[in-house]
Amino acid sequence: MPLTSDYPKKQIWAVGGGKGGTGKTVVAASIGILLAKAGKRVIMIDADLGGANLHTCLGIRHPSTTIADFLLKKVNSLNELLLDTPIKNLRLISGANDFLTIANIPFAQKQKLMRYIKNLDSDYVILDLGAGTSFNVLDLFLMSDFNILVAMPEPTSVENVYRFIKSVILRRLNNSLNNSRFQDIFRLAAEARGNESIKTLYDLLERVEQMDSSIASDLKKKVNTFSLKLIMNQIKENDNITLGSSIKDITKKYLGVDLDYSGYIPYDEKVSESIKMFKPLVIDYPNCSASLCMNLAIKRLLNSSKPVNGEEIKNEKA
Amino acid sequence: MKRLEELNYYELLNLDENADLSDIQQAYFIAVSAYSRDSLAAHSILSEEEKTNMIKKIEIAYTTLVDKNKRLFYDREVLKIDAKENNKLMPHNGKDFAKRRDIIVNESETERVKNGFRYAELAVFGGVHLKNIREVKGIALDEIAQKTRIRVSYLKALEDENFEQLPPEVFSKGFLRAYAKYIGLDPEVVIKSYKFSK
Repeated sequence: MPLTSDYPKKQIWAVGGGKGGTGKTVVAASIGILLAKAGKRVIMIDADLGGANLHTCLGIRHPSTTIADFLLKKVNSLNELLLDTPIKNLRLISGANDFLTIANIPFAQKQKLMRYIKNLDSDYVILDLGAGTSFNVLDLFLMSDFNILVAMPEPTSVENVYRFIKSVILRRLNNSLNNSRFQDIFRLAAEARGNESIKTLYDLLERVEQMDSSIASDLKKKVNTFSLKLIMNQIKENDNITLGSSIKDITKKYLGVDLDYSGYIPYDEKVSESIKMFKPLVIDYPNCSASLCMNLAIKRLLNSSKPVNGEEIKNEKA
Repeated sequence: MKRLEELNYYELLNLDENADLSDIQQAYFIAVSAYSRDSLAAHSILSEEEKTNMIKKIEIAYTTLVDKNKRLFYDREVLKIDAKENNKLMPHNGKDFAKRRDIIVNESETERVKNGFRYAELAVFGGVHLKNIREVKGIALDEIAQKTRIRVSYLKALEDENFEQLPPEVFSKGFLRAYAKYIGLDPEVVIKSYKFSK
């Protein structure tokens, strides 16, 4: 399977999507493995700070080091945490599965973590993010060049995808405002809404426009240069396969955000079998329907437009 | 980023302006499934009213684009796309595509004007169509009211086809003529196709 990319620079891909249990980790692991199999140097990071299990999907039962060692300053750099995996070219930074408090790392630590992630030497860095829309999750998502959402055809998952998209775009706008006056304007615009909710970004940006048109135009640029990828996972026989396209359409029309539908992965018993056996899905069952569709989705991801999303966080009001 | 009201028929259905009939039908199918009452994709984000309104918009866009003549008229008069430069004359892309494009390219100016007129005659303008054209062009009702000195409530009644709220037809026709002219349509064509009764 030829997998080629035209981007010489290292790319950070984030896999998120709001809800737990949609298969983010299996999708992230498959992406990492398939890129590694195509000869790319890949580092996978289990950034699910509160519920890590990426190592399991990669066939590692007991990781000897975890990201907690970095956060607790037991090691000086992320490089010391790189674990070899059964897959050539693929290394793992395992998540912290035994520290309950680590899910809520303070701002300075998050900044440090992100700085070190950016400095990792690899062709690809894949971040497997946790559930929810906490600032940690959103900021790790936003620091990436490629932003992949994983959803499944259930109302709860669809609901969370929209919530995640809204949160992430607001966070992106918030992060782009680099002094407190701007942030005040943004907050006022967001709050000055009475009982009606702000459905689209227009309503929000229009209010900012009334206060300061140059800020509004900067923010519009931030929206226009942002795009997301969507993978629909666990699609069963009777599910509507146009669901992904529909979500894309609604996201564009009602949230003003570009979402690229990168394909769907069918529900496949082999996924849970492979997890139970501690064997990576795309290695052990390369020809099962889920693996084949995973290949297609990655090809689509690689062919899609040049990533533009990565950004620095300038400041934060947490 | 565009507001919903600013989307033209192609944008509503996520279509290219050169879309052929099968593209349009497929886009219509996807759009209807996204905004239907029991749509999973719309869960939590759209109200019943928003879904119904979008379906209405989609229906209008679809019925215009699948009708060769209505589409031509829409392209020419509303979007100002020159039919000479694309394949608007045949929504069906197919084997005879290249051949037929030659015909259009060779179409003389007088023929084009004549054809344009014929298509214009065939175009149907109901209140919803007029409203859509006005919105795509970004013209507010207030603006028309100011310039034409016709009350906003009458203009709105024309768009909503709310005939009880309009004065007798002979006056309303005058309003319609002024409205059509203001949004850049041929008033006579609009008058001919607008039905002043349900």
